[in-house]
Amino acid sequence: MLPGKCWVRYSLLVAMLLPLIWGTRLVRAGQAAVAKDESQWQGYRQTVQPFLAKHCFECHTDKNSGDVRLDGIKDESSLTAHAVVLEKALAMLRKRAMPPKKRPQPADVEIKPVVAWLEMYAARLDQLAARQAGRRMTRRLNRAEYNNTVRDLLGVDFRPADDFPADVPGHGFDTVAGALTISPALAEKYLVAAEKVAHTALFGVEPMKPERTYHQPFFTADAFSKNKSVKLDYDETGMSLPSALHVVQRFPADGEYTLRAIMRGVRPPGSNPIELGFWIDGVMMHQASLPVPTKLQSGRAPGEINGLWAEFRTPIKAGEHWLSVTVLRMYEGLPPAYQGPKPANTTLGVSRATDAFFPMYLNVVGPFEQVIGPSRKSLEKVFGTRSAPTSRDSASPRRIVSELARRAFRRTVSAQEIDDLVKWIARAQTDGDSFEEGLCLAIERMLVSPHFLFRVEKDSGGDHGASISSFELASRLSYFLWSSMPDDELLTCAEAQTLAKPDVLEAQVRRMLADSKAQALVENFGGQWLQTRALESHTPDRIKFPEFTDYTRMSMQKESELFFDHILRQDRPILDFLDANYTFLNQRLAEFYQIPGVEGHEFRKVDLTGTHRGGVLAQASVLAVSSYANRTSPVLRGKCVLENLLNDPPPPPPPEVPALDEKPLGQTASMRMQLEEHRKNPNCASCHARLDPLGFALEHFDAIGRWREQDGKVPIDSSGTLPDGRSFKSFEEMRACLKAKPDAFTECLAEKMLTYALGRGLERADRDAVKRIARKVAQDGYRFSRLVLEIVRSQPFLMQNVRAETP
Amino acid sequence: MIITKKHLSRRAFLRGTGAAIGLPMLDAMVPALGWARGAAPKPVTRLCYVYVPNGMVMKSWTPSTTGAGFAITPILKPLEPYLDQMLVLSGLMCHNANPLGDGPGDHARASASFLTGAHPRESGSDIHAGVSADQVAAATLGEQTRLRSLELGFEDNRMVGLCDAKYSCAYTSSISWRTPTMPLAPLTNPRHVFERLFGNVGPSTDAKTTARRARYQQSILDDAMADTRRLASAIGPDDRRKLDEYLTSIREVERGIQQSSRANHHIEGNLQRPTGVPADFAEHAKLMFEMLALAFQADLTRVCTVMVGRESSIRSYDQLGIPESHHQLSHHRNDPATLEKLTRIQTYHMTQFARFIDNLYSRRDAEASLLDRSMIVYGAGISDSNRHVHEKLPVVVLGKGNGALKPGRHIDYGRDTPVTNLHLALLQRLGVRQKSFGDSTGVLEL
Repeated sequence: MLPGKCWVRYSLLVAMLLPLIWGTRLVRAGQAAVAKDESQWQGYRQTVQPFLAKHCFECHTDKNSGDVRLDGIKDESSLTAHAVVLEKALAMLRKRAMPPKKRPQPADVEIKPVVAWLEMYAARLDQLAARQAGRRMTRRLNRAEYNNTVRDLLGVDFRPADDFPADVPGHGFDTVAGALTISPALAEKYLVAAEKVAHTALFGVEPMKPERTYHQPFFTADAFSKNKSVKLDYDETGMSLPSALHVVQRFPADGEYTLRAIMRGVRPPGSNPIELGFWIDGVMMHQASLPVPTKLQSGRAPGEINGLWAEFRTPIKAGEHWLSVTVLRMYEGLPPAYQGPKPANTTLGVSRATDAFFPMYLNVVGPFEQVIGPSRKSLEKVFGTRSAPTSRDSASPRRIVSELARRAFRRTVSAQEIDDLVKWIARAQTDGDSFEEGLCLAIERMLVSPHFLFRVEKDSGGDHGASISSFELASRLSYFLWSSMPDDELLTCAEAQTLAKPDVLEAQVRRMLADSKAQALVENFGGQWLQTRALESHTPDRIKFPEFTDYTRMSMQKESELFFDHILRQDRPILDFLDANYTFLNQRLAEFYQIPGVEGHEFRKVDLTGTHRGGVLAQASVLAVSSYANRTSPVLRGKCVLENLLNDPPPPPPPEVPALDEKPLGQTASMRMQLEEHRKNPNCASCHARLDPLGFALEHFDAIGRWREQDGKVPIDSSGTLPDGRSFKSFEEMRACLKAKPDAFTECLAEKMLTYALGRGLERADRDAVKRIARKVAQDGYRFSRLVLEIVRSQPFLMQNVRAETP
Repeated sequence: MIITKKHLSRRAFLRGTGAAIGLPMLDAMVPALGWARGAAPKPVTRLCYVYVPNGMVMKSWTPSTTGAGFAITPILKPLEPYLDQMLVLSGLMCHNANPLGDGPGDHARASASFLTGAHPRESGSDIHAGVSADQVAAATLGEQTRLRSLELGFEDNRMVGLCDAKYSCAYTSSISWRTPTMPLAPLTNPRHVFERLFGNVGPSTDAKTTARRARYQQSILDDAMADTRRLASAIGPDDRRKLDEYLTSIREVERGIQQSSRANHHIEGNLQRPTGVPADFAEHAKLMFEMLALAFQADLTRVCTVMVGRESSIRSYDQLGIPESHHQLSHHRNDPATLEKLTRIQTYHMTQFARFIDNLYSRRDAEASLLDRSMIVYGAGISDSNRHVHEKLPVVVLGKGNGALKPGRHIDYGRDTPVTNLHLALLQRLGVRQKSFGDSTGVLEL
């Protein structure tokens, strides 16, 4: 069996596109190779064409059959051009997924020779591809890589690239070279960023005027009014309550900032003063007390607190911080009539709540008392720590510049290059500026150099399959695992030409995975593989799902990140992604998941035994982003599983198919009934037979990932049958089915990670490498580190991508 | 425990507060226009394309009669005050948005071919379309201005995954293509637009320091170009493309710096720098259109494209009481309730656009209004979104183009006229000498 249709999509697609991509060089080479043997077309005409004409042409000849047209093969060259489609046909015939069940079925003796011929033809194309596939492409740093690289190069961590135009993903990842476009707007940003980065490194952040930032997070009154009762063990910190205000702000400079929270709502007159907590990064920094008016006062009715505010000033470090304002002990101190949970000492465990007040706005003003001057970290990065601090004198500019350039360009630099950079220092000094100002210009110069902004792999002039240079390998490694430049140790290995040695390579990979910078792999690979990055802008129907607050959203994303991080750090089997008896929760998510015993806003590892959760498919983040705003979609979720876990993505629906009738959903009909109706259309059936069962299995999770027994008025039925005949009754059983065939998942993850690491779509020639990686991973108990190691050791990663021969 | 989350902050929390770009300072800018040098100024024409995603409910768009004096339709209603300033053009098509043998991906093809007239390559990474009409115009009109062209977008969320079938997200997120392989990503953050137009407002420095700084910048860029050329010559042609694009881009930045030092676009008044992306769509659109109008008036650029949303946008419009995603709704199956929602979204977009037209109309450019001096095209590469139809597209042109257009009519071209014929007609009116463009079959009669 083929590893999955993905191959068809990537590799054969490339085969088909190559003529366009490379002018006509490759296709000429390809055609020449095939054309030498006229029997290809003859064989096709004798063996395959009659079969297709009999069983397939009825549908696969016009626009209605989506992208599968089988009738255009008329000679040798159109045969080559239809390689994609033919491999699709092969996959369908092997699975016996076509012709559709309702059509006359061909006999085995009819199918066998056709499959055999198509397999022979595919293998032939493989051979051809292996000889000439792959291509190198110059790749610019993406935004995450730029940010991390200037952080590691110069100790500057204000994330300048967040201001660059958004990167566009290709093949699902924003590391893919071809999709990383360049424009004048970007070049202008490079210039601006270079100046600001260099200046910050040498002189610190420019003195700034205080600026005011307004935060008004979205809130919905429903989140409060629905809360008719409150549990005795409610969150007294207020952090996980709907009333809490949570925002993330990037601070431009070290300094003092004023945080002012402005209230809205009503608290019963006679209550104790409202206690507000101000938190930075989850640590309470300040408490304030706001008395509740007891009588009409400056236009406010008794109990009304609209516009009351509290503020405090505090030093904050530059960078991104999570700010929260919460109502502490929200249900305490109410008048006796309200029977608050503790004041009334009710034994019911719940009591009437009055929580119709909350901090509505947060205004941040600053910086005041800005810290001026460069950071110690930056000075160390620029001037180095190895030699004496007096090294800043004029004798050492060459050493400083060459050391910086080596790191900025991630390789040894030539004397000429150093001369060109050092001249900037002389030039500034001639103009009457200081040494530092000259150095600043030299750094700016480096930061707009293509050697810094791009990763260019030079043709070593070697044969096909030649190894990449050791510096190129160092960069491939560090951008794969850290989304950043190689550190000193990697560069040193590269200089010594030892990096490619198996034991050195393994030691370096293990060292890199243990480094905190490997967090980049979690965020950038993990967030794109499972598409949980989409959570940032995912907006479920706010009326239907008032519980989906920004805090909930942040918590969901954090769970998935911590889970991935744990698998990476503890070197767990990658099968944990499919099913694990643990996850990471704070109180909000635990309540969301109906798991008792998790109190407070801190995340911790939680045992999931006996719950419905476990594995990424049961994580709210994944469930939410694979849903529509207002309802679940078994089709989207089925697609998510096929695409991200099984590497078997279905083609998009052909145009003009009737979409699902949503009106009766949850009222008189279940999603299942509607989709079964949909599947009666034979155009839809072949894909939906694969998609729907996987999606149905997840129907117990609603559109924001909570467990439910019913969809509206209709009970949930999560049973189904997979195309291979295995059936299941519940999500847990479906998950077990996936886990029972770990190869499909392992190959899928290997392919995704290899795509991310190489920064290109995979091709036919990479097929064997993926299989080999998956096999080795299985042999080592599916360990995460084994996956990374085998990717790094694979031929596509270590070898120069060879170019097609020019005919 | 720290919950860190990138980017949410900008999108979900920050409110733009810099809408204080008002009229008072505009007069201060008029002398900066640069045509006070000697001879009587030749009026400048501005060109702008505004693209809306996910098609149009055509029965609520197309006027029932042709010629002058047509009755306004529900979606065009916000433009009613400008009946005499608009040309509704029916029956144009975007043939290259059709599969033509490729697979699904009509959304990607629609946005990629609307301004290029090219059939985009079906690929996740090896992108290829054609040069877009705005960029052809910019090659000529842009010579005189600091920015050759400006690309704006109102959708700021990060792209994740694959955008449309096998097509790279580059196709759905850009309509402007500088070269067939170089899409120009739109700026979505008002602060970035502000900085691009007016420069980074840093601490004030004396003229001497500024001049020296400009000199340094120039030579840093020269060096970078020399580097790039050297590097490009050392590698194969396939690997070189990105470097060539970088080279083109640096050259553009350099040209901009030279232009700004020559034309002295000094802007006075209390211009406030926007702090980020407003959470409210209408406010975001207003701010972006406001800055665009300002840029046109100050002659910082003469060519602009605006993407109201990325093609196949999944934005939901809570503010209209519509929680479903736009794309989800666009497959409406002719369900009246869904069509009603779609129409509301499309009218809402048009309302934001009409405010921009108001803005242009209220601004003076010598003796005429800025609108009189402009040709503003509003349209989409899909008509019926349910079936991804790429003919009989919704297109309306606003403005008189300095007398080059005779607005106030509805013209129906049938169904087989490429939209590129319109592009060609406008390009010729802008003085671009070109006999064909994209898949054009002639010059559209307007």
